[in-house]
Amino acid sequence: MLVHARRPSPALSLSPALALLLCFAALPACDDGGRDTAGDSGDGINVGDSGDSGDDNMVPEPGDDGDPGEPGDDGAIDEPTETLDQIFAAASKEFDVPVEILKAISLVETQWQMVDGAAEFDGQEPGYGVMALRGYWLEEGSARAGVTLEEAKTDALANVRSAASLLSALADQEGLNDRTNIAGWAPIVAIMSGIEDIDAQASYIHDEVYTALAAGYAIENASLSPVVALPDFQFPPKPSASPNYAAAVWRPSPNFSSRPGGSIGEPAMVIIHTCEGSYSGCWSWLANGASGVSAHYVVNNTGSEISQLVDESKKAWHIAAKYKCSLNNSLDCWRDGYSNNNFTIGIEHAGYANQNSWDSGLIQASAKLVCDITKDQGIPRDKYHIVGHGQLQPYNRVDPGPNWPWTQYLNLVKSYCGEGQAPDPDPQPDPDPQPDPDPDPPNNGDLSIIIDSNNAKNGADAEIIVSGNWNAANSTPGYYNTGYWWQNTDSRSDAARFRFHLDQAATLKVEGWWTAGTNRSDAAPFVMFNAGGTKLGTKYANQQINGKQWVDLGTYNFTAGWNEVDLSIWAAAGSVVIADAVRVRTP
Amino acid sequence: MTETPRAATESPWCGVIAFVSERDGNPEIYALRPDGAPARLTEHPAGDFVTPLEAPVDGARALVMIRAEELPGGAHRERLGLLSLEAGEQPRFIGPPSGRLRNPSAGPGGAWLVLESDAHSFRDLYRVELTGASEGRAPLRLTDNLEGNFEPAVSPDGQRIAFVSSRDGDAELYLMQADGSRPHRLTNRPGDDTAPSWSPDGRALAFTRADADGSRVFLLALEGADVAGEPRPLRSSAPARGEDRDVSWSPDGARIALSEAAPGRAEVVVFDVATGAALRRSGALKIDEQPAWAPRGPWIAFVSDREGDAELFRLNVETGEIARLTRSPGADWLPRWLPGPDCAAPA
Repeated sequence: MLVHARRPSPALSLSPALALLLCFAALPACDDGGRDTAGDSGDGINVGDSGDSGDDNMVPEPGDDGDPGEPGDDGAIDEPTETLDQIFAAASKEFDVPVEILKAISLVETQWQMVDGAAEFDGQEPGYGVMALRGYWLEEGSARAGVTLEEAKTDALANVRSAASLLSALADQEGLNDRTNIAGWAPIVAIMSGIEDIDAQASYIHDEVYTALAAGYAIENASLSPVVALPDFQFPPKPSASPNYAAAVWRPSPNFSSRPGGSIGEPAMVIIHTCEGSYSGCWSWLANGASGVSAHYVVNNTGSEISQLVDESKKAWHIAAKYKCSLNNSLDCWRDGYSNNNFTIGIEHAGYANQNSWDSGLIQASAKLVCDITKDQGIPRDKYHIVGHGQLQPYNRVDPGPNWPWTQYLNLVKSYCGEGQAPDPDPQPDPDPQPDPDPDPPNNGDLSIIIDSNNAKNGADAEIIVSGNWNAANSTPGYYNTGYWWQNTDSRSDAARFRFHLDQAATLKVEGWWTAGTNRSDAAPFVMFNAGGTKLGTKYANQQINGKQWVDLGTYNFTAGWNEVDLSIWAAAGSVVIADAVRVRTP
Repeated sequence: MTETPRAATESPWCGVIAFVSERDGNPEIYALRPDGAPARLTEHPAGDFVTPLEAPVDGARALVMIRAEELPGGAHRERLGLLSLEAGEQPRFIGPPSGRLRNPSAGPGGAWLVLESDAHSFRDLYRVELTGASEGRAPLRLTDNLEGNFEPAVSPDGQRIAFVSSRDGDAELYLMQADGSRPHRLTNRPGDDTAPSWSPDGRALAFTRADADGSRVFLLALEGADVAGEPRPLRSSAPARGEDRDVSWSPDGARIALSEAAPGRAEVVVFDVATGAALRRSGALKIDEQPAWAPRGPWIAFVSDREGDAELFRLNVETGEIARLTRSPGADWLPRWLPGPDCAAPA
């Protein structure tokens, strides 16, 4: 409660995320005034106009990867439009900084999302853009790149160019002779990080940036091909085990104090924060005695590592300010010195309150941690006891981070603690009931046809048809074969069409495959048609879950000829649908 | 602060739309009437917030507000106040300040209200008298649970209070008498059941249920203090996208407006309570939220950033027509549409 929603607080501020950027997967659309259309105020569902489709051609068409691409890029660029890939490539070429270095830094800092940062801690400058440029670096970089401060904050190309110009200048300063030597860039990347502590720098280099390089990555409009390089930098020390949570590492912070006695010091709430920056930058600042702030835990951006900084029995300094009855008409003096820190456990998460999508690994790791904390501390598991930093204000327009998947997160916490969802006594009626399977299906043997998102993988009896609005990706791992298509949900007809041919009619089970993530639709409409074009049924699939597996979409009576399973984008706006693979087989 | 009265052909809406505006930097309360520009009601460096209330207070001449103050030395306090709808009057503060005051709900005629406070515990419910002989008396504590009690909603007849409690492990709905006696549980689910809101006839509660696929509005029928059947989803069919929030009943209880929120987008949707059909969508590409029904007429006020920063808009539920109500550099939000004397006039 001692936190202000709109201004930085004296010691620790929350993340106001005042301007929500709507362009996570479509950076050029950030400049697209067409996005501001007021929408159709008429009846029913709004039909998007062409102004909403400014991001149509931002990624390569299927089968277009033959182009050599720009020098310095990783070979993924063919289109003249400014994809994130092309932005990195252009900046790389202009400033002679390896594109992999730019991409890896951006990946660690923002997961390639345009961020409009906030100061989470006292002394922290807010980060901006896909490179999360801050303070001095932002000013210096924008000057070197010849762009305005505002452009460097809000324009992806200006932002990456500013960062590349800085890296280039630092490379000169540090005497880096061979700029193609990825390993040799490590000390420069460490300087750019703004992290002071050498061990934390080593962790940032080895465990984050060069690990990201080695792993490779992709989102819907950019990819990083894996590069294995042993960074020219000292190794980080091996942290010891956490006192309260076996899955965490112990990086003790001096910034803690005792909880007061009595019920006021009993942990009663878990507060969810965002670092407004990278994992190493976050824990190293909170473990730095000079910062005067801390949290009990910090979760990294994929959930693969959690740092514990303060024992749960101690008070971490993650929420600013205290109660002073002398300043409050001498009321409630029993609460003197009272602070939300007294009875809360604070968890920081690498990332930004205004980012659009959270890695499901981070969500799961955090939910497991919160289950453990609530078990140990006897804290009820609900929205009143597991809350976002911003929820401490009376009313708040923007916090908690608007895209933190609260319902899913709390349900996960409960399920990890054995409170799985009970069978639903009030099931939502099936909007489009499936027909009963034919009791006497024609004998077709054990038929099984897989329709992949890549037609090169499809046999003569299968094909996929997608319009140019669909975007190719091989980002989130777990896709079937070579990758998948994605598109933003919208109120228009532009389905991904999974077609398969039957010699004779058959009753077949339909199954879908996708890569799950929090930015996916929780009601992706799969619509089944027979060869005569008759709609057989619709199944809404939650693509936020059940990734990397065949998911039952029902059983239908298909006819001889080309049948179709369409993945419609016509779902309520604000998410994406994933067209990866469909399998039809004898039930 | 007055402008030329609007043309007589314009929709004759009535009452006062009170809202929060940040046009002057920090949150202040404004009032908008059909015939004028927004009038500023508060002027204070603290954050002033209009609190949503089911029942009008002081014959609808005043609204309830919360002032959140950051004091020197890092202290923070919140105060509950009654604020006249006439500009230029100072708020009358009620009860002692606290670290956290939330979710006031008024009894019939605005004679008293119930709210959530952390004054003596993690979170409990208190009854505050606003008028009559008991005015000024110390707030009466209605609950006492270590795990906390939240989000009170006074029934339209003032006999009962629906609320949320974590006393049995996680958030569930409860009902008690208006004096805090006879609390009993209404729901029992692994997921959170929260945000109870009474139908105007007092025979049903709308609330938000966290299911595996998101937070959805459900309806729970009541007969007196007893549950009359299992809760049912508000929607009859199509799955909702995103999370339901900001439930607002129409004055006749036939319709419910809510906001369906998804990452980066939210839409105001109006449902028919009897059939569960979606009657109207605001159709936005951005954030449409916080719907508030007019006391009379086919309108709801809502907040949208469809034309830049957050501004108030008015949706005609019958025609789908949307009109912009405010135009200011800072965000305008948290609308409450209060009845006025003009609402009694024939349409």
